[in-house]
Amino acid sequence: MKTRTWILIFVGLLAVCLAAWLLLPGLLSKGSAVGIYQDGKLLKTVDLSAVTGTTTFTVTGNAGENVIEISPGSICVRSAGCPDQTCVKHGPLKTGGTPIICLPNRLVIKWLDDTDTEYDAMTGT
Amino acid sequence: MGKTLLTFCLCLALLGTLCACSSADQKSTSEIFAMDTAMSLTAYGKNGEAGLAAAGQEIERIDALLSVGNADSDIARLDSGETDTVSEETAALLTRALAVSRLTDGAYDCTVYPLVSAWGFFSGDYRVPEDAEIRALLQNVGWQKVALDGTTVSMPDGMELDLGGIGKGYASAQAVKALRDAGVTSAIVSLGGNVSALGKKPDGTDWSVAIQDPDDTSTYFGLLQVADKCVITSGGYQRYFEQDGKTYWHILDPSTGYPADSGLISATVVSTDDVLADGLSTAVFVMGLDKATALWRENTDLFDMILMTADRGVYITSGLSGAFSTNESYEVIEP
Repeated sequence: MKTRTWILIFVGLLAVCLAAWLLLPGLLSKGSAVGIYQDGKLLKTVDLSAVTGTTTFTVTGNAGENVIEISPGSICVRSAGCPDQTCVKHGPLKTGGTPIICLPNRLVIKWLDDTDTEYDAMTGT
Repeated sequence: MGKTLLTFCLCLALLGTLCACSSADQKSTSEIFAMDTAMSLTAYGKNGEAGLAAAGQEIERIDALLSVGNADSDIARLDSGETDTVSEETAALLTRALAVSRLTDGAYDCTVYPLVSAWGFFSGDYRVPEDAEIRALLQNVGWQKVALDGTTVSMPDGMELDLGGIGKGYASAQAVKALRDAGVTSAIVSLGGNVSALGKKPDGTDWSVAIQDPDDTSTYFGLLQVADKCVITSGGYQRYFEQDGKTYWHILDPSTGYPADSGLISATVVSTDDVLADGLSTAVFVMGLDKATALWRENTDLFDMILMTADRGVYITSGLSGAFSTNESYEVIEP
């Protein structure tokens, strides 16, 4: 009986390890995954660590187009049709930094998993 | 066999605990665009989604109520002279706006709209008005000239009200209330940088709020630990324009009609009262270090603050000692 118990525990542990092995790669890459949102809806997710070349993704809104440049490990708004250009001036999305926001086109680019950041919210104007 | 059963039961119990944890930690988020800004709301627990939906509806309702750009809003109808009667809710908020104007001796003034409008900060068509134009417009600015009797507002012709200076504070207070009413006990909302926290984090620790660096808005210069409080910052570094090499920001000094030039580049107010904190952050930015310090010393029970001067001097009031951390050197203002 005792042996059977140990086997059960061993099988249980093996199952946990297997689950972790299957799930962890997904969890790990989450740290470099970025979401592109418009009007609160997720348009596209990009895993910056898996990007090999430079591509662009264009979002259209009330104030024209935002051309988003996606390159290995980096994402930024290359050009925007709005007058204030706040999203272009923001530069690339930094680890733990503020999301890229285009108010006129209601566009937000931010990290999907922000558990690495030191803070829960940022106050500013 | 008894041991096997025991192991099995233990495993079940462990699994049960894990599930319970994940339910309390379950994170829901939403992004809203309202009141001319981007808002981010996060709630924890099983009621999170319902709470966020209720909070979102409340924010949109307040936006419609207060917007100067919405011709049907109480404020727009009042400013256009279409009516002199407002809803009880607007009247209550106007009462608060006038109280903050009085408390800050007009450094926050809910009648500054004609000036802000002349500078183009509402339309986006930025311009530097002539001195004479500013002097003329200053005649139409002054919270003391506004009288409120029940829900009836009277003010001289040419004057216009704008509750935008406390509107986001009101919206965050109401959003937090909606979350609480929905059964949420742990949430944090950021209404375009106006942060308000409900309770503590699911793990029982305080929320960590970053104070944006006015010289590099992609990062921050300090962290503040809070629970059940709001943290609201005013600065000149995001809504501004440049002309002939000079920077003009959107926070105007109601006494001069020109952008506030008090030596501060960032003013953060921490309080349990979101409406007060919203008005105060603007006022403190206009007042500058010395006047703001004097105001705080008379009202230490109402609020605390974190200030940064143009030469990156950081000042915090003593109520925040122990809750604030930064790599910059800073001075603590004592009562």
